[in-house]
Amino acid sequence: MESQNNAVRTLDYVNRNKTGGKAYLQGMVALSIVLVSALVAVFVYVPYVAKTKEIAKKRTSLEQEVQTLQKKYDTISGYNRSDLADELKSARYFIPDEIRVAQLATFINVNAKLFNLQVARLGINEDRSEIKQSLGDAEKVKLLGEAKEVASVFLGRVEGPFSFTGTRDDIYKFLDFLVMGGFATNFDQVSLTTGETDTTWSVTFFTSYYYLQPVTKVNAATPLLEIDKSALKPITVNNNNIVPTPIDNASPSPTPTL
Amino acid sequence: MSVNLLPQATVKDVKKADSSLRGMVVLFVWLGLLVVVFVFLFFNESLEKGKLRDAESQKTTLLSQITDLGTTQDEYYTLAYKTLVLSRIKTDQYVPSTIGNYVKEKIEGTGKVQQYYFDAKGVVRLQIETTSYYTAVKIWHELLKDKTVMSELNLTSFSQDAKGKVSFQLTGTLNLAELYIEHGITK
Repeated sequence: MESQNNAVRTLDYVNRNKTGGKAYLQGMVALSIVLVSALVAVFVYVPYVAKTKEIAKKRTSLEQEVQTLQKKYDTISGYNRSDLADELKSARYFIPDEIRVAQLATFINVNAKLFNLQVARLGINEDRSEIKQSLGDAEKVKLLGEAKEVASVFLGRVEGPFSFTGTRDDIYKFLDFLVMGGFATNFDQVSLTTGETDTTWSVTFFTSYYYLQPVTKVNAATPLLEIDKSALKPITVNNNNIVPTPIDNASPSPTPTL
Repeated sequence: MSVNLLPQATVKDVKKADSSLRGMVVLFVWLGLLVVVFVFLFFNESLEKGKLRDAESQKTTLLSQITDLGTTQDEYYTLAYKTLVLSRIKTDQYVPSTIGNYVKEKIEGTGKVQQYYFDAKGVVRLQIETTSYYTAVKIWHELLKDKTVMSELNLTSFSQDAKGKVSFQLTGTLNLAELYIEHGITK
């Protein structure tokens, strides 16, 4: 009887152990699944997803570039050639491809005489600089954008101090004539002083005339620049009879229409 | 009489078989999921790579098309640069007679301007002569009142001779934009 009881107890023990071992095994399998899943996720999926995201980011950026280039191509190729030629002609009227020092001297001298002014002093210098160096940061960004290479654009400047004598009204008319045509010119340090008589005045001013050489071999990746057509109009002054002077491709015209 | 020699499956045996089968199914589903996710990621990556290649090819084509524009592109940029520079210069440009007329308006009849000086920053310096101290102060007051156009007005020199004739110098800064508006000048 005792031995029978022992046998039953042993069997119960074995059965319990069997059940416990099975649960243990199942637990281990579940844990392994979780672990392997985590390892696969960390070492396979995550790098894959990261790589795919990187590619997608690159693709998005490239698509934006393509859009920009497409816009650039459409804008330039769609620009009417005849309009482009006409507008370029107008632009050269206001900012020539080149101005030679002697031409500016002649231009100022001849026109001053048309306003009954006498030349007292003529001194001019020539300076030439790369446009990207002469512009401010904001415009530089506007000009160059992210393009790594752009054609060198040369903005030239012919400048110098001039002195004339004449009546005060003629002096102002002449100065207005120089600026109102919409030319790429500017004044600084203008000084008008009465002369020996009340009607005779002398003026000294510092003027700069700009010119911009044509650009060649523009890099295809250069960002698109908008054409500001409003710049191709002269300044308008009410009740003024002076008509803007024609300007040829090389220099300001020495024969203004008065 | 037939005898069934096959072992009889007990309920316990069936449960055990069910449990093993479930375990196998779970294992296969898990492996399947791992593979499906991997395949999905692989295809997604391939798709992105394909789109990237397309975009690169489009870019190359466009760059080539733009290069083929040749002189048209050069002329377009020449025009764009010229207008850009013109706009920039025009913002600084000023009309000299406007300054002269403003001074004339404010002073003529009361005093005589002997010297005008103005620069690109709008700085104005006027050497004025008047017959009396009172007129000089009146001119100064007139210019001071017009704060929208003239600012930072200072008396930089003053002298009076035995006959009462006054000569003085005023320096100020002109708000050119405002002056142009008042004189109907559009830039």
